[in-house]
Amino acid sequence: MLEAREVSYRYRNHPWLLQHVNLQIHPGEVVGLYGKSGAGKTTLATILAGLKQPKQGFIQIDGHSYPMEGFHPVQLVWQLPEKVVNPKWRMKKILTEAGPLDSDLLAMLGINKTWLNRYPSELSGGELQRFCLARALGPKTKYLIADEMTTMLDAITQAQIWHTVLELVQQRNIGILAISHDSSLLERVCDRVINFDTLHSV
Amino acid sequence: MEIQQSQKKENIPLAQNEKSPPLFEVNHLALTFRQYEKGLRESNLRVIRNFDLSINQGEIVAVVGASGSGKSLLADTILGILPEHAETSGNILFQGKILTKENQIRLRGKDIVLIPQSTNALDPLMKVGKQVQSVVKNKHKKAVQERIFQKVGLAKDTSDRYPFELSGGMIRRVLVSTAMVSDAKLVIADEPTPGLDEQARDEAIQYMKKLATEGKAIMFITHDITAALEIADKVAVFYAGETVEIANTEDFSGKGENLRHPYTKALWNALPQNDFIPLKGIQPLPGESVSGCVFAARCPIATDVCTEDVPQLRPLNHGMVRCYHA
Amino acid sequence: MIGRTSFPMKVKKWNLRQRTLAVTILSFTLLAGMIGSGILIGPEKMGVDFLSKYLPPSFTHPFGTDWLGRDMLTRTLKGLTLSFSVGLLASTVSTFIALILSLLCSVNKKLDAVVTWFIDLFLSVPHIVILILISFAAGGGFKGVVIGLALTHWPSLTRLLRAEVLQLKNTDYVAVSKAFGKSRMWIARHHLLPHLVPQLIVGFILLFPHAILHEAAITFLGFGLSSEVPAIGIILSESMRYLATGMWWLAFFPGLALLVMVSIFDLLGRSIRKLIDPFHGQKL
Repeated sequence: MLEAREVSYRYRNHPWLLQHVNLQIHPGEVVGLYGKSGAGKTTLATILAGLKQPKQGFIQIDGHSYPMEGFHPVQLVWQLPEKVVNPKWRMKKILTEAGPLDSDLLAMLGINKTWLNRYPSELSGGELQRFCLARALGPKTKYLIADEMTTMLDAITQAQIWHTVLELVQQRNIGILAISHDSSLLERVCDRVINFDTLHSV
Repeated sequence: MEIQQSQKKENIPLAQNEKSPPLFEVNHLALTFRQYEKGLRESNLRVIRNFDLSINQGEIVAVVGASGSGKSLLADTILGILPEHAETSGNILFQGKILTKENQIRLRGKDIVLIPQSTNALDPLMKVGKQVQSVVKNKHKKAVQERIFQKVGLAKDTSDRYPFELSGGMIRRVLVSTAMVSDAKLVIADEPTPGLDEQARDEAIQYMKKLATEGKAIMFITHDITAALEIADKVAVFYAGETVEIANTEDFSGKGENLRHPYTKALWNALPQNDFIPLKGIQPLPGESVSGCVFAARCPIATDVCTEDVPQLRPLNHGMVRCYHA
Repeated sequence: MIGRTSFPMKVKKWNLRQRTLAVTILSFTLLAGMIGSGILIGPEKMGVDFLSKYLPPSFTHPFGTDWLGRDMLTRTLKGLTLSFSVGLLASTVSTFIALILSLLCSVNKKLDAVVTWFIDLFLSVPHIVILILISFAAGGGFKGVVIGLALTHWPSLTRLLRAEVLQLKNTDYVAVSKAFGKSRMWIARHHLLPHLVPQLIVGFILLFPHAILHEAAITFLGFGLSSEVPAIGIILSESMRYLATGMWWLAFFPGLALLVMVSIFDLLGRSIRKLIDPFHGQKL
């Protein structure tokens, strides 16, 4: 179980952005999160993925506290895939940075093998997001934070990607936190949906 | 009978304003980038193949397309702010006259304005009030700017602030007010909605509607078909560099029976509030050579003819479609 | 119509990349020619010949001769070769210092502050003053000049690289790399270095003209190379005494040669930037 307890965060000299956040995600569960822009959802996502340390409170996975060494079991998929890939690398190197290639996973995500020799600038956002997802879904990944993962994508690509993700949730018993403004999407893919405002008390 | 009528006026897809020519019209626009491959060879990368569109005064036309369809380059092409290694062909007409390079330079920022996607588009070293005032033509710059700020719900003291002091939503309102105070006849909004929460998104959309009621023509470039349907009069569906369909907003209903092109139908049915059905396959990447219809590889109703020749955009049922089988 | 119907277009004349490459090769050949001929000139050509002193430029002595009858062309070429080797050594060391310091900036805020302080310190004092001080302290001569140049020419390149490194360090893909369990060294090697290489190469080449001009300047002032070596700075300072008597060629040709070499380096640096920086390369 991924558990955030009493997590608080603020940027230097700014008021608290997150205060006393409590959140639990079970394996195989898809949890939706929505809220206003700028409320701190993305900050929470980066904290859960271990990219930022909370100022107060702690996060645990199955009883093990953060920070974690090595490949992080909670992986984040970002809104803009262009920003999370090194523009000077070919897609193959980008994928293998996270671990060996998994052909089955690539096939499931609809990644064409010929794309592996391309540079990120030669692919569109939808294709890049598939790569980012493939990279984040390594064998050691237990939880996935999808922060506006498909917001920049068209409806068809969005449906394709979410169908694959839901299939993997079943297969591997991965837990998912889906952050989105699109309430119909959350209703469609999530087991339960949380309003960000009820999570914490700023 | 109806079809014959509109066939005569091929470039005006809707029967509404058949008398006067549209304010803004794009025919067979293609855009190519000159590129260096490995070493010294130059190659051409074709990003937009066949873009057709027309917008009347006071009308909102949404251009809906997936990322990688080339839609983000449309605004740059129309305003003439493409990088130097880009080549265009086809023609763009503004008020019935061909938009030349010189005209683009003269008209942009005046008759044709852009609401950019990025909130970094404001001058960081200038108070926002001043930036909006600089667009106003007449003498009462300050008064006009104040009135507009009130209209879009910005506090009076906002005009004395610098862009970094404003939130993303406020900056967006400033950008919209710049478009509102200008005498622009055509406003191009490039992806103004993604990443906004529902309230902010609704606001952004309503501002555009306001612009249209003032008689401006709006070209609303987006990938978000739901946002497009809320305000647009017409929707131009853009796939792999081509306009595949120009539909009326009412056509998007039910299971998409009134939609003409199979891609538009798939797009409609893939929405989470509809059936959430993912169509298999991916859009051809820019530069990938496709003979015949760009959608043929993914199309459920494609036949041999589809892979042989590029279908032409033709009028159908008060709209336009680029498909043999529609 | 916007633009002309230019598709498909046939490029008959050279495209930009071919032109840039041609310029690069040409300047490279010119430099190699200058330096090669300087190296090949033996000591016998450098001899004193009192029968032919004070000769103005002619076919036998294109650059004229000096008060000892030495051929100015050979002396100039030798001088350029010397300048080149000084420049090469100094720029290599400077570039290396810049790379190390800029990578140090990425480690933590304290180190960054220290490095920045040093950059500011070096940039706030006139170049030539520190250069003279260091080269004097290092014992003067060839060694002194090289050490002086190497230790004074890194700040501006370091500042450039530091900005790049800090920007890269804050990119999301570096953050993601950490989440994949990659070490700091791995990230520096794979994420940072490839982005720095173009800057490094261009910075290295553009340091050359600086180093060479400064070498000539301090030698001219008498703080650099010793007076028996045929450095351009020495030639220029010696010729000052004869300029008033109308022997213009003694200063004109060596000075011009130095200028030409420096401009060729500059041209080479710019062309290479166009070739390896994709942003400049595609645009122009």
